[in-house]
Amino acid sequence: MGLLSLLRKLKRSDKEVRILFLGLDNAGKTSILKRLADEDISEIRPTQGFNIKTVQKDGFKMNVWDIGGQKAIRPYWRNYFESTDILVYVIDSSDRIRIEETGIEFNTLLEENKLAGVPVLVFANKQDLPTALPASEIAFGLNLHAIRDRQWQIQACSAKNGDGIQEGMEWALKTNK
Amino acid sequence: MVYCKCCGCITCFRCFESDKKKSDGIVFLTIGINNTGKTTFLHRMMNDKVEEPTPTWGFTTETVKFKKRNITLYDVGGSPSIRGIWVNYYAETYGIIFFIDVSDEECITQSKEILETILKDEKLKDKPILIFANKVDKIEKFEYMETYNKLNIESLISQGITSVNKILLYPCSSLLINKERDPRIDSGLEWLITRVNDDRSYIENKVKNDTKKQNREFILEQEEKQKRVEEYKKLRAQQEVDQKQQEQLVSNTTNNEEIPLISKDKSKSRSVRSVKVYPEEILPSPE
Amino acid sequence: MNNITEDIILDKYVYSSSFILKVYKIIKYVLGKLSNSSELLRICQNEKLRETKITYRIDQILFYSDKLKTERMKLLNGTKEQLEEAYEQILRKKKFYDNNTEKTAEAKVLMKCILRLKETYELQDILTKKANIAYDSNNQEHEDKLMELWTLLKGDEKLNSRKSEQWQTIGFQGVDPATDFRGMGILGLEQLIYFAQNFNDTAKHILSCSHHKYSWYSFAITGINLTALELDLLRERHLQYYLISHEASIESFNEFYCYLFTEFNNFWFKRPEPVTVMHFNEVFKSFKEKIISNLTNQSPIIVDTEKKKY
Repeated sequence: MGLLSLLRKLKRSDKEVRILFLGLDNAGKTSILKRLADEDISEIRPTQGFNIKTVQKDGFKMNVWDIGGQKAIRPYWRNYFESTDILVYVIDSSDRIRIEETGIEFNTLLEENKLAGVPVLVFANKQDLPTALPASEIAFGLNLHAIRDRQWQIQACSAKNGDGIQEGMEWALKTNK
Repeated sequence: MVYCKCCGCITCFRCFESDKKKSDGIVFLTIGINNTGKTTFLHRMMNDKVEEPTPTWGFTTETVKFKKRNITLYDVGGSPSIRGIWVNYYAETYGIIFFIDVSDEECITQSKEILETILKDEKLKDKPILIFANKVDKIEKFEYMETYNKLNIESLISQGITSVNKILLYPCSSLLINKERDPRIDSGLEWLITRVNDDRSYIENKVKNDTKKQNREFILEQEEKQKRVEEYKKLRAQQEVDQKQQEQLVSNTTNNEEIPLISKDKSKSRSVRSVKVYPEEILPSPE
Repeated sequence: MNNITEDIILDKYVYSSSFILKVYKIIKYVLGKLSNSSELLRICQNEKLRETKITYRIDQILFYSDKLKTERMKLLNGTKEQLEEAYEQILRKKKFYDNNTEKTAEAKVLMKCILRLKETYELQDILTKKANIAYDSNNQEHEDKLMELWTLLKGDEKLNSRKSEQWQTIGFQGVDPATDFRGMGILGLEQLIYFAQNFNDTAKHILSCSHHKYSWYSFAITGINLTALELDLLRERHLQYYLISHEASIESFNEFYCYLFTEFNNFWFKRPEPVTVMHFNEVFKSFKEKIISNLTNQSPIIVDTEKKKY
């Protein structure tokens, strides 16, 4: 066995991180996940159940669980809380009618024991649309300023053109100790 | 609803169960324009090696050990559009750590205006403020009086917004110096903690009262919101019922009209086994 | 060897393994040298095979051929002239000329088959274009189609308003189906309508199955996923035999969709362990494998209209 292969073996293996993607249906969770994995997003279909992907980037091995957001599936969300390192909550910034609904779901999540203290990244998605609310307004709408028991970050993004996604995940990974 | 364990009130922000909260009780809020080094400072207090954190667009909290006591730090984003959240943390903080980037003139100018605004907030009255003139490593020589004047600190004191013993301008660098935290940071913090302890009971009472008031306002706001949501839902349900009634009315008054056509079922059991073979010109008929 | 299974054997064992394919090509080469012919020529000369089988074999030969790569590109993407060019080149390369005399009979067979294959290639483009037409709530035609789907499945039940929770009863996610079509666009809707129109009883039966207490799933969403699956099968060339033997048309494609839906419903409820909606993707993956296996074995494609109770 050569020196090079020996060195490769000694190299520290990637740090594993378990990430949970939640949010209402049509928020853009699967599109963001595919963007992360550098996959095509032109033929996305609605998620029934959940998707799992492992993405390796910058020394991290991200195990991402993307759970469907339709109302009938939300009761199943709690089955996936265990051992989550980072919670990523995705919001359709242009869906003004459902901002309160998503706010309620979000704050309900924060009260879950199994998610206690887990840092949360809020993706204010679909910023490419003209009707999108700015991230700051969404932050106020969700009462993010009332959170004291965990770190949070809000990131404006667009899965359509890829903006903001890398930045958001960078925060998430750097935050995770 | 989460009941607070220390004072029994509903949702006391400070008392969420978390082992980070085993502190001496002192909370400091770090604010300032974006890119002035607030989060890097937080990492210095956590004693790690991070020197280039991602821009904060949210909130981070850490309870750190400093000279045998535990202090809780709140680090919030400073970009123009997220600055609006700063006010939400004033009630709980015992003192302010304000950051400026001395290598950036524009930053100093903006900070001057911001300082005046925030210190006028009732919730920050009589609380000490430490201004870290950060990034001194980027300039040749830090001119203390020059910066002091640029920030109009004298004016703030004369206006009564703050007092001479409650405000301090201190140079520092949140980058590692010889792999260690800049000792000036420690000195600055020492000053801040001493000022808090000089007036400890007053500040603690103020924090307690302001926080309680903030909680009550928050709860009221939530109840209002909840009411709005309920009303909206009722309205929607009523609209659906109304629409249904209207349609029944219409259908009752029209004469026997044909029920909307459903496309006739073309077949009972269709098999796609039937093979459509092209006319076999060349080959003999199939076997 | 029984010709009905020769192409199946080729699909299952030869084309699926790069090693065995190499061996097979060597054998063909030797055979070709000895008999001064080519596999392509021999297929076109075979009078025992039906045109469907010949066309299918030609499609496979073209796909796996190293020498005919450019010609195949021209067939796939080219104009009529390019198709003719490619045709001429294939005739020359694959020994369709005997001392400069064209073997007319075989050449005609080849041309006929190539034209049929061209239809299957063009179908991919047509369907992709359809899938790329996003559902548009401002397009009256689209809206009419959506209402048609409602009526087909729900009959007399009136929809309270355009945006209503009632859409969830036919398996859309929220109050507005428009957002569920996503990448499948108008194609997703049209396939659902085709199914509900042509197999109305069956579609309604499957809809009621989907409301199972424990193993429920969303009818419309599943349909959209099936449209995506079918497009994948088409692009991965698993539908070639089906399209050649039935017709390379949208109707054919839609008939196959109906087959997929009924097969899925049976597959879902016949899982060894009881499933919930959260197992959907896992089950769907196994389902895809089963369908591919059925297609490779050229099993008859029959829409199961029996109303089984689950």
